[in-house]
Amino acid sequence: MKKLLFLTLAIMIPVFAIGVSVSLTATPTFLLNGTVTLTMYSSPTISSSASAVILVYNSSTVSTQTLIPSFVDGKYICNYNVSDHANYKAQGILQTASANFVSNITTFTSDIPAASVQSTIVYVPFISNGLQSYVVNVQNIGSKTLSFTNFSSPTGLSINPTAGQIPAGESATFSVKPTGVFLPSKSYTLDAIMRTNDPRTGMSDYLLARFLLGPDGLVVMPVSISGTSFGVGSNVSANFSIYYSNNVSLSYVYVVWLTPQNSQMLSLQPSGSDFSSTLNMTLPGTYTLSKIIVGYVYKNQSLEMSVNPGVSVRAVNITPSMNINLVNGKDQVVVNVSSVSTPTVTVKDVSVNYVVPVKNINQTWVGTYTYSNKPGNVTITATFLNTSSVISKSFSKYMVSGGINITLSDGGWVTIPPNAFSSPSLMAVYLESFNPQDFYTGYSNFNQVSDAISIVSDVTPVASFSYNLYFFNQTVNGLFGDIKVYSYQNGKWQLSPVPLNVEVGMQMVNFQDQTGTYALGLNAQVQRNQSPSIISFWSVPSNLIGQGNVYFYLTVNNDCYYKLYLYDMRGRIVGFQSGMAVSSNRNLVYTLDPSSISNGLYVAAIGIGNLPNNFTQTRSIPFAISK
Amino acid sequence: MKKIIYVLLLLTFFSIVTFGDVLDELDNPSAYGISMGGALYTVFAGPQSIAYNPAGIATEGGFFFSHVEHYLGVIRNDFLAGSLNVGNFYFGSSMQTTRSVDVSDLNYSQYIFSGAIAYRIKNISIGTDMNGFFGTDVVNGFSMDLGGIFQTGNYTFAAVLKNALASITWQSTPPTVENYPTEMILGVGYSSSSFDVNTFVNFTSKEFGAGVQFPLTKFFSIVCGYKGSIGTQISNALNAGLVVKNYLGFDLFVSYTFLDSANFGQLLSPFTVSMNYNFGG
Repeated sequence: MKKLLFLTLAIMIPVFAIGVSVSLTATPTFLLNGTVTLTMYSSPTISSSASAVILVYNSSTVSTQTLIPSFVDGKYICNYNVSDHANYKAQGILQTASANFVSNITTFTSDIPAASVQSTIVYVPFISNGLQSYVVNVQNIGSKTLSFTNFSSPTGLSINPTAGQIPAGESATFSVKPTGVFLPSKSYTLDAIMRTNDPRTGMSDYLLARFLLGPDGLVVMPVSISGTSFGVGSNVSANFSIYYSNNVSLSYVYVVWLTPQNSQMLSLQPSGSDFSSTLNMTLPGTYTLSKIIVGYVYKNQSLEMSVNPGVSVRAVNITPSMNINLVNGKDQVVVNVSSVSTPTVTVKDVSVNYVVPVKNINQTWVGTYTYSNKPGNVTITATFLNTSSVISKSFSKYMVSGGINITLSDGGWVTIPPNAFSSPSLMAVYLESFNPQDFYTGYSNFNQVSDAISIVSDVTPVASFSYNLYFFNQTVNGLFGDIKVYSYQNGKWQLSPVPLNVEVGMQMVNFQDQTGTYALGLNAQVQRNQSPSIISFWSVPSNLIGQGNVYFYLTVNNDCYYKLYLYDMRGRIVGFQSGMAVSSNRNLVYTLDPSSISNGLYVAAIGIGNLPNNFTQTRSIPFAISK
Repeated sequence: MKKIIYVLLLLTFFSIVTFGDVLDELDNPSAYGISMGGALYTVFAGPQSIAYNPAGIATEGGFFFSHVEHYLGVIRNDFLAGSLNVGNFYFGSSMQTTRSVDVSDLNYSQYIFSGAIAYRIKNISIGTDMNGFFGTDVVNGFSMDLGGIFQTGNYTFAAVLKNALASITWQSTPPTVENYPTEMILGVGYSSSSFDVNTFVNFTSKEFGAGVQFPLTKFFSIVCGYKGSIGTQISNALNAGLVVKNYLGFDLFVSYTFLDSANFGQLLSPFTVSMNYNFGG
């Protein structure tokens, strides 16, 4: 290198003085093993009588080699053979009798990353679900790390890995798989391309694999289910399409459902492209569309293809229920029925019968009825197809100016003052009894302990009514401070701001308001300084035989927190619940649906305490299940 | 050998196509098993192996008895087993009762009668047992267990198909038949002069366990074990125990379970005692 430098400096001055420029080029500048052509020419041209040399410096061996070029068509040309991984610099010198002329320094290198790809062409004449993947091997035959990114052209191939590096001299395997949507009767050409940092001209993109798909084939797609959760007794439908080329004919189509009890194979008519399989869910549990089996004939061969969608839905027991809501100022009642099967809603308004049309919205049927202005009782009854369930609810109509007491079923009453209305008004009063009244579910937010009352009128009252709501001694004992008024708004029970007056001696709550829907509730009030004790803890039934739920009840002497675990005989926890319990109440702390557990002996263990996670007393009971 | 493989494959398939949770039985009735985290599947534990791996009875014969009171004493379990050998064949039988204590609340009992046979050549043992179920709600029931233990060097391997073909007819109206999946269990053990470690994985119930035994003297060992479950919370994971081995012909096993007050682990009896009498003295 030093020699080249000194030579350059020594010749610089004469070159510039005479004004002759010498140019040297190398082709190619990036290569692995092979030949580099070095071309030198001068401007103006110097005759061939001049002697020329080209010096080549090898960075790997740290040596300089002198080449004697040939003079061809006014240019000095020589070939240099590269056989190792190195960086090269070259410079030429023209020597005439009067002066020496030196060229520019040109560079070329064989110290590069370089890919060697065993490309593959994959013929898939028959398109089907789940096309297999193919492996392509790539080796970095260069001396630098090869960086790559992979892509599909056009999209439709999945290449793994998608990007990365291959160290010099090492290999990597790539998995290529068709994952796009390919329809039979069409032909597809897809390339898996690897883009690299290989600097050689035209050598940056490599074809990993070319997929030639179609045009024959049979594909099942897509699978959709009519829902994810249903009531027992509902139908679930799975819809899918089978696309196939003209030279394919369907022999049979089966759908396999896994139900909570067994597996069912349903046969579908093998014609057309769109298919639907409907299953009636007669038991609670998980239903899985397990397989779609398609038999077909292709090139006189009877073949079968199986697809595993693995789509699941749940069926749960839904007990039919009905709620009615009186609409203030409109003489209307809105009926909401929750049911799996279609209800028939009839109304007996005093003595006249009507059928209320209902609309289905997600297993809830909604109808509106405008009642007559005749005083009397209105009874709304819902009956259901294929079941013996009947739900019936009633409300009363009064034509009043005021001055009456409306008595409630639990002993409370509402006083309509004499000056309540400026003119006679039609009032509707709906009283709902909560059953059973002497306990509540410990894990619900609102702990209902009284009847709920709804009062509406078609004329706005000018005076407030007096609500005197009553509750049982058993449920309110020692808990007057915790009783609250709840009003029903927008489909939810919400804490009401109306002022209330608790009369301890009478176990009454008194407040004033015009119209509305109200109920009384209480919340547990756990005292840190009290140490609660379990009075009793039991299950109903203790030995379940046949279908049904197991209910767990707790009574305690002070309000407290509780935590409940259900264990099987292996010590595994099959149920859990935590919450708060109220003293002097029969607290329903857990309802076990045994459909998902095995028959046998189990243990329910409960702990209580005055802190959520600090339990000072525990008790356990055995229970058995024999479904 | 091929026939065994075919039977295993058949039972494996059967475990896939049946539905429902695993059989609800008290499957760890021995103090030794409790202290080892349930990992007795790789151990030649004598008569008590009938409840774990029938291949494990292929050792010295004897009588075994264990009494366990679970869940603050509301559930009691008694396990009585015996075994003897004739040449390379080993025979065993057992009876297990599980019952509720407070009969005024729930008068309930379950019985499992088992008969086992095992064949052992040097370091390889295979065994099977058949179980009959009876009880308050159980009209009748059947299951079988198949197991093998293989020792090489310091290592022991075990494979068990538990509750194969398990089916119980339950007293209902009308009586209902409930089938249970075959449980696939694999175990690995390692033994050295200073400690033994045994493990198991139940791929069907997703339970697993491991136990370590440290011999202190010729007769005494201390044991600790851990049992867990994937996906299902399980009570009482960590156990410790003491083993008195072949002292005047008797083995005595004591297990202590560390309490887990967060989920009432104390409801399982913290102390369990089991006893074994060896015919060989």
